[in-house]
Amino acid sequence: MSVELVPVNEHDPAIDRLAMTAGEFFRIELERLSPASLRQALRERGVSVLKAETGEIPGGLAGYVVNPANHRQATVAVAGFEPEGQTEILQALIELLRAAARIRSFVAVVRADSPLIGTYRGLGFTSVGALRSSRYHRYRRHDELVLHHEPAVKEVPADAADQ
Amino acid sequence: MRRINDLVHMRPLARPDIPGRVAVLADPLVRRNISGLFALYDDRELTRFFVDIVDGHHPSRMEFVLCKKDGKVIGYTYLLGIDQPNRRCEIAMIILPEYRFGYGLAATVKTYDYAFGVLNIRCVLNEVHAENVMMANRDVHTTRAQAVGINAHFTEGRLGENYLWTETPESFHRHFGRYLSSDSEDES
Repeated sequence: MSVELVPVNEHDPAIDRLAMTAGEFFRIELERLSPASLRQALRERGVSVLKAETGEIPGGLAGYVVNPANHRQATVAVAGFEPEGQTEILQALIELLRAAARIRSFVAVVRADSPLIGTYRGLGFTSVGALRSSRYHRYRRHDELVLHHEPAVKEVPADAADQ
Repeated sequence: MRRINDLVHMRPLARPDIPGRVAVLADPLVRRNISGLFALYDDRELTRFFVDIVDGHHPSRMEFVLCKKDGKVIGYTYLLGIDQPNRRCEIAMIILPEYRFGYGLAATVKTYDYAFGVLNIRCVLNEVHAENVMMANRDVHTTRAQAVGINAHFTEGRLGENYLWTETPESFHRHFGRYLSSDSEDES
């Protein structure tokens, strides 16, 4: 099953739709968030947003922010409009960034009780720690889990990559 | 210890400060402790970046100048990723190499105090290059790290790790509260 990702600008109706979901996206708690606030938060974080053009599976949005201190690393996030399909969207984003932007490692930061953790782990992300009290959600502070994923590089021999 | 407020003053970055702010990024000792990718930007681009901040075009970032009582600049401190819904931000600072001993702690406390006491931030994220040589107390980032950023920065030609940890108002007062009291005795 293939997922095609296309870039969207902040005025795309999909952004309005995202604001009505109950999940999270780049440390933004989407619950009861106005579309204008969501656009502002995405702008401040420098998020590039892509929309999943899907056939059989429900759509969703994926996004990335390239690490300004290592342009081969990006923080990624996914927000599906339905629970299923998020793994495929995230997988498509990772493959796209590896192929088109030479991104080699991926970071995700999610609320420690997020249902998305299983999605990330399923794609090979592993936990590199938890940041205490760094998220506010539903009247209290939550920890955030930091996940890291560095897919194996198959096409370039390791000794060549060091040069 | 001298009272923090007697040691370091903090004022917003203004246009006349920008040449100094740009120049500090070229200092070899400073460069060893920040992303090497600054080398991709020339002075004109960096100047434009700081002018945009001073003009208010980056609301999630605040830049300050750190000075001695006589107005002499000792470094720069900044808050970035200011995230009001989560009441969260990151802090970073650059102390001029000649002042790095004796002023780093004061600058750190002043910056935290601004974040918690003025902006009402509830969580400050600290992210320190694992091989940082500018921190007088290098144990801090290894003992307090809550997460490790693998290959999180490119400095001096290679990828390296970052240590990340959060400071809350409670942990800040636990670790630094003794420096905040304006009634404390001046021991210097």
